[in-house]
Amino acid sequence: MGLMNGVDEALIKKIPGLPVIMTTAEWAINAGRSNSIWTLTFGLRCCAMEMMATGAPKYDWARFGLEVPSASPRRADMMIVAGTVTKKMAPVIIRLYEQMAEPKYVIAMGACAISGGPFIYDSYSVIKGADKIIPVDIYIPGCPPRPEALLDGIIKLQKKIMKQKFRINKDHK
Amino acid sequence: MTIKAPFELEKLSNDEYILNMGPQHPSTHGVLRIVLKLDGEVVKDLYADVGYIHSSVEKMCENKKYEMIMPYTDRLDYLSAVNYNWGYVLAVEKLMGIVVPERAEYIRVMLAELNRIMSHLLWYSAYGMDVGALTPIMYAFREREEVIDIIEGMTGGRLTHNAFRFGGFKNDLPKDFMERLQKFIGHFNDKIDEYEALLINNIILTARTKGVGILSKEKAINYGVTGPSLRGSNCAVDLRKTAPYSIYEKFDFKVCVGKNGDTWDRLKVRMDEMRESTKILKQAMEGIQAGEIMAKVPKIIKPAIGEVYTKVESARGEFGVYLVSDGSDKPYRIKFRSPSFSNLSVLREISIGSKIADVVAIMGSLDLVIPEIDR
Amino acid sequence: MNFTEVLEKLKAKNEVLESKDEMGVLNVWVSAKTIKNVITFLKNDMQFDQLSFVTAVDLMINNHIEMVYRLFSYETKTEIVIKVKLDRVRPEIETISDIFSTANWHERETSEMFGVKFINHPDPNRLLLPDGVDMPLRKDFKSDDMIPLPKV
Repeated sequence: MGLMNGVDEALIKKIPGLPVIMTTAEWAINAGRSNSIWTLTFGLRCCAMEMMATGAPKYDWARFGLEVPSASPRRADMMIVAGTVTKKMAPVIIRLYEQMAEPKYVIAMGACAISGGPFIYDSYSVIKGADKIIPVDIYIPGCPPRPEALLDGIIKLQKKIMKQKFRINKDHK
Repeated sequence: MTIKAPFELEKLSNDEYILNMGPQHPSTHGVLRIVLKLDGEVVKDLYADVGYIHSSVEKMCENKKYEMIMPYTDRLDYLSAVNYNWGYVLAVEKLMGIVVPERAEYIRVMLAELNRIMSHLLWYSAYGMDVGALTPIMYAFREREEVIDIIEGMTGGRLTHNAFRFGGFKNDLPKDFMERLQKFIGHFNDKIDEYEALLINNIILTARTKGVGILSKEKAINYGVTGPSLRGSNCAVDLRKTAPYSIYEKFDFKVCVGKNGDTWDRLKVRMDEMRESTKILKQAMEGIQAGEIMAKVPKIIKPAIGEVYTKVESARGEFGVYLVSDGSDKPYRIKFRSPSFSNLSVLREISIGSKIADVVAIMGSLDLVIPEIDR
Repeated sequence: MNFTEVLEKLKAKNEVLESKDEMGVLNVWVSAKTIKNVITFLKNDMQFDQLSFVTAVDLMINNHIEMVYRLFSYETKTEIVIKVKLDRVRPEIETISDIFSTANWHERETSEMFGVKFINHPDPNRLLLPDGVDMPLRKDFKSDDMIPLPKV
């Protein structure tokens, strides 16, 4: 459903019999990736509860292809850093990120993951932003962000994935 | 940073091995690491490693004015944030001798009880997922969103409300509040029956939880366990009854207790508590009168020199605030006595000897919130 | 059981340095050596069955670390606070985790936050803090990670 929504009319060629999409491999791969994002189930603080609410029936992120919450980082495509990143937790987050297979995406959800949020001043154990330790694709403000905001962030990520270009690595033989 | 091995590997016998659970594990409700020493499936020893979300709240509070601390109490326990606001507000009010108007007290009680229901509903759905039932979340979140909508109308926030003020409440009730609450109370008791039929009285769950993780009354008190986990061990302690704060004396409700102190009893107590909460809500709706919602409070909050400890019954147990004031506009020392901290420390005691899968069931029944332990 | 009754009973068996009424709750100062006897006495003979928490307060001006033990009785609904003044340079006190099991974790937290050494503690490891942070709740604690709140 989500896949066909993004299809340009011009791409659909009416060959006698069935409509066939003629497109680049890039578009097809990107469409596949953006519409079946598997998330790492991993919550840190308040934002994790809103993440659960987004997965629950009322907001239902399965509509956007996030059907599978994956408990293991090895089969996850996206990590939502939902909460405060602390000094003791940082090595664990880095390890989880490194275990994820390429291509991988990171959403920094909430003020804490963006900049430290309420814990930015006078705190000795909070790392001021998830982007200090891992690369972040999308930032969602709020403390905690509403489920609608998380869905908006996910849609933005999907748009970002659709714009990915493939480069041929010339050194690779 | 080094990650310690809490057990000495050289001392393991041939049949024993070490299993690491967490910090990223779906059943640890956040970031809690548990290291288990196993012999086959049987747990020989257990070590809980906490502190992964320690964000130095107590130190920060020493550098902040009294009004600025309120949002941090929300973020200690985001599931029953209102009770945490309340504990803190009570401490400052007691130090300053502020008397809260009755209407504000009624609003506080209603908000706290709605919050308790909200917290127990999340526990219910998370517990279902812990033991492998993925449907309960679909049912419980249906009602939870309804409660959140009512609370959002009252305070403007979904999880972290920050609606309490020293001496009263931020705003009066919205116009359609009574109507919505009436509608919710009208059908909620039937829904609790549905939850019980779906999970709590389910034959598979009862087989998994009855007689597992037995916590005796003496042991529970010795470990400082409070809240539903203590009441499951047949100990009728509820701060709303035993050390009443606010206007809880006016309400007629029962303290729910379990019989044997096993995992199933702790589950059942929480389900019964939701029923009692609806009872309190009903009485509060009838009892609330028109009036002021804020007492006269000085603009600059500067409590006199002294110290105070106040405690409230949160959804997890006794939440206390120990506040030392030196007469300035910032607290000299503030300590949050969090219920989950003591509740988790008993886990080792009750899970030794059980199977590895039972550890997850026992841990879920203690209803832990990790940021509250780590602070 | 009222205020004076508790104090008299306590004084009869134990050495009490000082006592004070703090918002209606009895605060009693005892010496560090007797803490174990006092807590045992309160638990066994006076029915104080719940230890609410153990913590400390850094009284930097007086050069003291003050230990705070708060007990509550489910039987008589009475509260009592036991306080011990420790030397700030070398704070040492006997553990009470063999009397109240809950004290184990509370003492570990106090130990890392204030640098108080608990003698005979069964598990004297860090609880919450990451490596490289020591005694943060002392008033003279300084860290490069702490950005002060900007003045408006």
